[in-house]
Amino acid sequence: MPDHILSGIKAIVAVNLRKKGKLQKEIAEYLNMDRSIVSHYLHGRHPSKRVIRVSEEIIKLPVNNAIKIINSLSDDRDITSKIIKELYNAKIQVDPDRCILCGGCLECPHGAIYKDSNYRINIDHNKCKLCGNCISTCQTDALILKALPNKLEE
Amino acid sequence: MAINTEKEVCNGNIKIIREGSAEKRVLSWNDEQCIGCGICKDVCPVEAIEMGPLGAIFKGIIDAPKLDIDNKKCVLCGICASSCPFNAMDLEIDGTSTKELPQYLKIKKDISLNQEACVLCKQCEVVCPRKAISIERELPERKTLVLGEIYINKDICVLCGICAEYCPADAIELIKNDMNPLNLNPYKDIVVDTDACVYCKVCEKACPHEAIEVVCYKCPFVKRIKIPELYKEIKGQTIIDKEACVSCSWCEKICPVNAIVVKKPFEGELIIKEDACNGCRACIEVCPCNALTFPKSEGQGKKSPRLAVNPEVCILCGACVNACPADVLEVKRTKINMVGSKIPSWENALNKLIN
Repeated sequence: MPDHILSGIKAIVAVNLRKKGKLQKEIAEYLNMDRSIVSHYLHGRHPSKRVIRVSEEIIKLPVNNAIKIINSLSDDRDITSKIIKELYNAKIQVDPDRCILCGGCLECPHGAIYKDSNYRINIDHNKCKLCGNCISTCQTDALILKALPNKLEE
Repeated sequence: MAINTEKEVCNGNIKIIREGSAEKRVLSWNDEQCIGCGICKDVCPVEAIEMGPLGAIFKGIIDAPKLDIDNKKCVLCGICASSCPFNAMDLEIDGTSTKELPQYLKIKKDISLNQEACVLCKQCEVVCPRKAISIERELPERKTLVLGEIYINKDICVLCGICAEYCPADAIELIKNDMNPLNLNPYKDIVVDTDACVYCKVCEKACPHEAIEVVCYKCPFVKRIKIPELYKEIKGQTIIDKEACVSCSWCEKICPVNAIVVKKPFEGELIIKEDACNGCRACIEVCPCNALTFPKSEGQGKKSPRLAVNPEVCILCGACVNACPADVLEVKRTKINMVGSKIPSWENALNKLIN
């Protein structure tokens, strides 16, 4: 079941990328999968329409909730972060009015959060996998997922 | 992944420790330094601090820690450490105290001394409620200030000891004899300790046999010693223990030469609702500045206030408010003196102290 939904979401991402003019080969490389499956995605042969419908509903959820579900579908953070980055123009940001510099988020599993020379918390967006671990760790709700409008709806 | 926060309790002191791959933080709290003002509790953004029964602790009714820190809630941000006016808390990040780091915000209190101006009078040492000031002074020997000569004519002297009894400086001593049948005299000699003698001439006047002659060269009672000269000869230093100092400014108020400048952490006032006071003295026991008192009544029939504060030495820490069982006291802070780098979330937390 989670695999079906993941396929559905991947299919939606593949279609998005195709609309942006990406080649089938490039899409397969981006999603790290076989070209034949991408071809199935692009031609609507797989997964089923029902799966696509559920996947679309998940994507339409508020971004904070959607990334929790997407992250739960797979343990492969490379693929989930690629999917999330493609679907949403989302970044985790530090709200300086709320961040108390407690450093709890520094235990980022991807090493994406660091202290600068001023002891302030910063996020390396190149390393960030949008796994949301820091958001749930933060006791003062200082880490927020800031999303620009959903790319699907643009 | 969230990492475990450990708690160690040793001799009543608490350590909260969190060691992760990125950094090690240790928050320590010292029961002895803590006076129970509760500022840490008020600023804590995660409500991890709980105060003990302060009134009872300070009156010695029960033996309990003044506060407790919940390691399950504490996130080791260190706002408590930076706001503690009594240095009872400290947060170390990888071994460095945040108090030493200019990147952090802290409540500023300070005491500074102008040693050049200080006359080493020791009054501040006496009044300091925290025993934070000690003065080491070396005075010139008394004999350099008092010069003279004393002569006892031992041919006339009968060794009666009247002069020794009168001597205000205990400078005259009769030397006892080994009494035996061959030596009948109880005393064999009289000596004057010229280090102690002030050449005051009391002995000369007291001697019934006019055996003593005294000459004073620089007698303080005859010719005043020039104070500036004496002052130049006084050496010493004033040592202020800044960790112990609570910046009550009592020393500043009484310093005769304005050699001490104190910066208090807060501005505002302490309000006393006397009518509610039941006279339990908990606030007086708690106050780190000895700023509260029950004034003695001025004559009979006159009603004196039950409880009074001297705002000059009150630092508005709020310990009395926590200790009071009857809601008599209220701290109204209007300003916090802060120093260090701007951290908006910390300012928000500290501004909770302003009501």
